[in-house]
Amino acid sequence: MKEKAVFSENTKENIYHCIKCGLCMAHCPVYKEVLSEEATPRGKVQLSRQLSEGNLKMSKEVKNAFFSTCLLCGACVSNCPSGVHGSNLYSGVRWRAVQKYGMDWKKKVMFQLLAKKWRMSKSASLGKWARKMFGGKWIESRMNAGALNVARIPKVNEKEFSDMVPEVTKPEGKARAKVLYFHGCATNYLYAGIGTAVVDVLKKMGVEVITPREQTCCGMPIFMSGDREASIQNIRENLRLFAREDIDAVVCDCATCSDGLKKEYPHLLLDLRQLGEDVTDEELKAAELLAKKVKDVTVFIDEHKDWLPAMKENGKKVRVTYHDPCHLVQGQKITAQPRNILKAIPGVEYVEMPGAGDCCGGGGSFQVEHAETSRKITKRKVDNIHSTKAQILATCCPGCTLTISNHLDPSLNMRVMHPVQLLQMALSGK
Amino acid sequence: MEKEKMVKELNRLIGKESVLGTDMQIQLYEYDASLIRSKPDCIVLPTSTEQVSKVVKFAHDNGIRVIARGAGTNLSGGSISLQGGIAIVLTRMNNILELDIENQRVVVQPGVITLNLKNFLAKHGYLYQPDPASEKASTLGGNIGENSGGPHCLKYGVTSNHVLGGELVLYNGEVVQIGGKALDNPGYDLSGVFVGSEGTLGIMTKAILRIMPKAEAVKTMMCIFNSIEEGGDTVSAIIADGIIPATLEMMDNLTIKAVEEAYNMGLPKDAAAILIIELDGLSDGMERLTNRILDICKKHHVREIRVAKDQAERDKIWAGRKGAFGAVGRLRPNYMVNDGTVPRTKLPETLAKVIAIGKKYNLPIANVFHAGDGNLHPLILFDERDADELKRVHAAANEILKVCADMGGTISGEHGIGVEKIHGMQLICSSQDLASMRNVKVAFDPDGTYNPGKVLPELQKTA
Repeated sequence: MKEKAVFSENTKENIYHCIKCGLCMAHCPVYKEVLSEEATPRGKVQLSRQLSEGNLKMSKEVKNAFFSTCLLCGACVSNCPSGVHGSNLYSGVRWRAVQKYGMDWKKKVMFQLLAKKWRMSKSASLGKWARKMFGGKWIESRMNAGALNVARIPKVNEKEFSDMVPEVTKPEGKARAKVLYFHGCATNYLYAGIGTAVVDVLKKMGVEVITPREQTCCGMPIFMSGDREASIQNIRENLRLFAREDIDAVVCDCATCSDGLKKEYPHLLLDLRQLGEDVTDEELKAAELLAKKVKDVTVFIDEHKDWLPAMKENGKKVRVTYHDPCHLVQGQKITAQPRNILKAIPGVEYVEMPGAGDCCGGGGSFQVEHAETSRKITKRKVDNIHSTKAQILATCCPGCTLTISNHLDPSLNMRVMHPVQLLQMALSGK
Repeated sequence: MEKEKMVKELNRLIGKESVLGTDMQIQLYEYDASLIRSKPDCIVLPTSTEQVSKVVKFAHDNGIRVIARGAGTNLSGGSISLQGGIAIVLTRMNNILELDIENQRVVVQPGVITLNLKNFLAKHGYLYQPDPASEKASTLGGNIGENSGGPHCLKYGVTSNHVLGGELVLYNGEVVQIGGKALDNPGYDLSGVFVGSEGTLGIMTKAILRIMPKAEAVKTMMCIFNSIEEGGDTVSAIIADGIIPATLEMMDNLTIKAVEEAYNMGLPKDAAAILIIELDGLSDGMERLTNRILDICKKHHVREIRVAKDQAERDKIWAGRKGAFGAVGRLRPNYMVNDGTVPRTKLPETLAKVIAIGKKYNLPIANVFHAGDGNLHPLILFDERDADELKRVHAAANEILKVCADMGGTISGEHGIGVEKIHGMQLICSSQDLASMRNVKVAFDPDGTYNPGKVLPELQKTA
C-alpha cells in the first residue's frame, strides 16, 4: 500500500521555498535554549522535506523532534523572509506521527472530552477533571505537571462560564453593534472573570453580545497535538455557530483561539480536502466568512473606543506592563491595540518590558511534557517582567496567563489580568 | 572507522548528550545556506576547548576528517562535510568570556551569535563593527572562518580587521595561543593567516576582538533612483568626493520588489535602484556631510530621499536590507549567490554584463550590493527541481565569476570560496600563488584533517 502523503500540494510548496538561510533561528525560543539544528525551524522544514520525499521514515525520533522542540508559537513563520509557513508543515508531521504512534493517553482523554463540547456534566466538569489530571492527589503521587507548579494552578471556576452568562446580553443605552462572543476553554473553566469583563465592557459600549451556549473548544490544542480528526469535529461545530453574515464581529478573548479561527480553519480545511478528506465547498466558504469576522476583543474595543463611556479616576495609580502572546504578535501582528487600551485607562502607569514579544515558554502541553526547555524560556520572560517593577501584568491569552502566573515571584504579589478586566474596573470606578 | 565505533568512542570522550549520530540527526547537518549537501558521519556539540581538543586528537589519530560548524549560514558550502567524518558544532560554546572596556577588547567563544555580542556591547555603549546580513543567526566563529563582511565594512573593514588573536586547536588536538590584545604581537601574524581560512587550518575556540565606542550620531538615508546607472554613478561620485560613509548599499528592482513584499516598508516597487547610505560619527558636521551627499544624489537625478527619523525607522531599513536574500526566496524557490568584487568604478559596467548573462541563460537575476566596496551579490533565481535550469545556473555563475576577474576584481568578497567557488580560484591565483597557500595549509594541517575539499583546488584533487 502506498504510504499516505505527508502534506497536501499547497502545504508542500513551503518545503521548496526554504532557502536554508537560517534567519529563523534568531526568532525561535526553543533554539535559543537547545542550540542544535533539530530545534531550528529550518531543521524541521528540512526534515519535512526528507519525509515528504521518502528519504526519511517516520520514527519515534522524528515524532519527538516535532513535538519536543517546537512550541508552534509561529515566530519562525512571521519572521521568515521567504514566506515559508513552517507551522503548517510541523502540524502536518505531527498529524502523521500521531496516526502512526498514537498520542500520549493523558492528552488523548483530555482532547476527546474537549472535542465533545466541553460540557460533559454539571458536577464533574472537564476543568475539575483536568486539574485532577495535572494535579490531584493521585496524580501528584505518580506524575507531575512538568514545569508547572501544581499548587499554583488556579482553581477551577465554581460554575462554567457558559452557565453564568446569558445567551443574549442586551446593550446598555443605544445599540451600536451585535457580536458573537467566542470564549475559549480557559475562560470557561479557569478564568470566568475574563469572560464576565468582556461581556460587561461590550455591553457598556452599546454592543449586543451573543454567547452561543453550544460552542466548543476551538480545536487548536487538539490540532496542534496532531489529532486532526478530532479537531475537525470542533471546527465544523464552531463554523455552524459562528459563521454568520448578520453579525458585526466574532470577538475572542484568547490569542490562540482567534488565531485558529482566523487562520488555521481555512488552511486546515483546504489541506484536508487536498488530501482526499470529505470537505464541502460550503464549509470552505463558511471558514472564510468566519475568518473575516473574527477579532481579538482588544482590537474590536480599540476600533470603537469612542463608544466607551467615560472612565472614572480615583487618584490611584497602578504600574502595568504587557506581554504579547505569540498567537497575537506573531500570528496576527496585533501589538498596538491592547497597549492602547491599557494606556487609555487613567489609573494605569504603563511600562514596556524588554522582550515583550518573546514567548512565555508555555505552549499548552509543551510545559508539561518538555519541562526543562520550557522552564528556561519562562525564566527569561519572568525576569523581564520583574525588571519593570510592574504590579500588574496584562496579557490577552489565558495560556500565557497560566504559565506566567505560575512562575512569578510569589513575594511580589503581582497579578496577571486581561486588559479588558482592567478596563472593566476603570469603567466601574475601581 | 565504522560509524558505530566512532560514536561510541566519542560518547566516552565527551559524554553522549553531546554526540549525535542517528540518520535523522545526520540529515540535519548535511546542509548550510548554500546549494551543497553532504553528510557527516556524526556530530558533536562540545562545550569546552578541552572537549574540542579531545575530539580533534581522536579524529586525527584515527584518520577521520573534521569540520567545524556554527549556525550553518554559510553561502559557499564551507560548513558542509564533503568527506564525512565528524562535524564539530560550536553553538554551545557561546559565552562572552571577558569585556575589557579600557583596552577596547572583548574575548568570546566561537558559538556566540554575532548580534548577541552586539546587543551585549550596546549596553556598555560599545560596538563590534562587522555586520554580515546573517548576523542575527550566524556565529562569530563562522564569521572568523569566512572573514565575513557586511555593509559597515566599507568604513570599518572586514572581520580580519577586528580579530587580534585567540586560542586555536591544531590538527593533532594541541591547543595554542595566537596574537593577543596588543595591536602588534611578536613573531608571525598567525591571526592574519587564520582569519578567513574557512576551517581548513584549525578551530578557534576563543577569539579576542576589537570593539569601538558607539558613534555619537548616526544618519540613515534611503535614496531612490529611476535608473541603476544613476545609482551606481552616485556611489562613485560620493567616494570621489572624499566621503567614506559607514555604508553604501544598493538594491536593484527585483530585490526591491521582493523586500517590499516581505517587509512592507513602503518601497516604490517601480524604482530601479535604492541606495542605503548611513553616516556615523560626531554630531558636529553630520548635517553638512549629509547635505553634501544629498547634493550629489540630486546631481544624479535622485527621485526621492527618505531619512530615517529614529532608531525604529533605521532598524526597519536594515531589516529589509538584511532580509533581502531571504526575501528573494519568495520569487523563486532557490537562488545561487555570488559575491564577486570589482573596482567600484566598474560597477555599472559589470552590472550590465551580469544582466546580459541572465538574459543569455534565461534566468532572473536579483542584485544586492555592498556598492561602496564594489562587492556584488547577484542572486540567480531558479527552482532546483528543474534539472536543466540548475545546469544553466552553474554555467551563469561561473561566467559571472569570470566577468569579475576580467574587470580586475575578485571572485569572493566575503562569503568564502568553500566548494561553490573553488573552480574560480585559478581565475585569480597563479599556480605558484596556490602552491604557497598550499604550503601554509600543510604547515598547519599536514594530514588534511580539517575541512577537506575546500578553498584550494589542487588539494581537492589529491585529497
